[in-house]
Amino acid sequence: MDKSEKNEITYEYTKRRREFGKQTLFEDHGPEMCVSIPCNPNYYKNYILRNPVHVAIQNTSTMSEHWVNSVRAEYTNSGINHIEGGWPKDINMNDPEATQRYRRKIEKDDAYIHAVMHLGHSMEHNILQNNAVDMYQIYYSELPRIPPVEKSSCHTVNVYREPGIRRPVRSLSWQTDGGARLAAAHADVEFMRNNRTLQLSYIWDIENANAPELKIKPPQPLLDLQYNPRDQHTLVGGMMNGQVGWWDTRKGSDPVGVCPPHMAHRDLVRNVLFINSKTGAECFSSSPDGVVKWWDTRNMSEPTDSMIIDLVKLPNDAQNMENALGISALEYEPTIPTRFMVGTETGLVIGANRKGKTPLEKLPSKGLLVACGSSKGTIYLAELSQNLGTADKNDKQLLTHILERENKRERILEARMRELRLKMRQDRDCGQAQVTESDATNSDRDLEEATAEYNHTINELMAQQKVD
Amino acid sequence: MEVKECNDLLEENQFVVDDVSKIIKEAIENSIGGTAYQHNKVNQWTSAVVESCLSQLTKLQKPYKYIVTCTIMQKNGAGLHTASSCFWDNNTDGSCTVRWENKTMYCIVSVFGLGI
Repeated sequence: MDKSEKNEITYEYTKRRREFGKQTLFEDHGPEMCVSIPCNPNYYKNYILRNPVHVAIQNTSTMSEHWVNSVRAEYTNSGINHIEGGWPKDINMNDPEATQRYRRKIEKDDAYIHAVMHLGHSMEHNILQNNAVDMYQIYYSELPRIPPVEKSSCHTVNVYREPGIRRPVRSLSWQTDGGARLAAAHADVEFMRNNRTLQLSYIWDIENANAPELKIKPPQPLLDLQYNPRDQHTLVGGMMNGQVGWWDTRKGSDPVGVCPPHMAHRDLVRNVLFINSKTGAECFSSSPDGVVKWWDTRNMSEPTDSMIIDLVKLPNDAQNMENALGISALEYEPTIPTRFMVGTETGLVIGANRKGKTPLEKLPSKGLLVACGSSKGTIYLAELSQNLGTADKNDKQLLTHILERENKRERILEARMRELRLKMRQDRDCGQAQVTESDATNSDRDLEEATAEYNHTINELMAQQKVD
Repeated sequence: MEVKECNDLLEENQFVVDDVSKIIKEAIENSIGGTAYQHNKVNQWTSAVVESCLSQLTKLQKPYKYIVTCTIMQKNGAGLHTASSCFWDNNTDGSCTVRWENKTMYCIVSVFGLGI
């Protein structure tokens, strides 16, 4: 009732556009006394003090209960009694004497008792049969099975914060052989700001996010800290001033060995990695100065080997550090220790080969935990779902396909660029109008070809996926 | 011309306190009148007063938003003091409070009119 009345109140008004958005000139008004009723003790006499007072309060909204019963289904039972039938032709079944005689004759027969015995079994079976619906029947069993849909998920398990100051995480390394430890190198990117103060790095027990298990005390800020794949306790670290050192967690926070400064890199050490060698003591490091150095942790006084990443064109050209490409990434495949890959600051990825390293067995790598570091000095440990963690049999193939496709695309683009450049050169020589025309048709054809090829590849992939 | 339009605006679209107080008084008289205070009727009275005030105010056909409040208090000797303050356009906006009483109760209705 109230609501309908409220809805009836409507007021329409018109306002010119120019009146909109005018500056408001609001001012304070008041405070003013609206009402002031003084208390009047004379009225008290009209009332009697009620004591005690009983008040009932219902906070929740009132509810009513109501039952409804649906119309009952009516059942009736009816039976059919079959008495007569199956008499031979010559017997009048309405004559009780004749039927009686025939019955007696049958009952006297030798086969009669066997027939009854025989029928008894099937009769009993039929009587005991449960004619109700089978609740556990499997329906649609003839349909093909659909593989269960796996949900990809990722949730944060733990967050590890650097105690006190927050410096960017420079590298993370997992302890090998399923160790529950995580080495995190922290270093301030502002090179000059905090150089003098001790810049600690940490080893975290992944079960304990409150405090690091061990504080690594490097003489210089660590830019990379990597676990030894062969030894759970040793780590190698690259420092800001180019030195490489190694630590043993059993021996404490101080480095066990540090290379002398005159043998160190000329720039900061960006990457260090243990080599999967027999001794488990060899490691190599790279730096933006363009040199890769190999070390033996047992003797850190000089590198065992070094290589300048300078792409020389002729075999007898000397490599020069001045021309060396700065290295920004370093990785190697544990199965082929002599081979490694170097990512340079110019964007080139170089596959390099170094002889004289001993090959070793493959390391098992499997896990569902992912750690990520942030520039705020916080490390997040995330857990992936099973399907994201394990490599599918198709994964490798798909990745290869992606790489191939991208490669092809790259080549097509390059060819196209070359063609365009050629056209430009021709442009300069010949008349302009003529060339632009042919150029347009040419580019159309190229585009068509590329599109067709792309579609073909996609279709192929889709078909393959379906088969899988 | 301009001036005339301005004057028109001033006269027609103003919050006229006298008109509003007349509307309020009528609304209270119609809904409560001389009836004695009854606790269980208060809800009904307040909503009736507020509704009829609002409907009458909109019938004035002025570009205003209205806020209407209604307080009903039994006359039992207790005091009541209320005050209000506003931050608005003093040129157009206005408020009107009516205090009405019969033998058994007070009814206080406030209307705030805010120009659109």
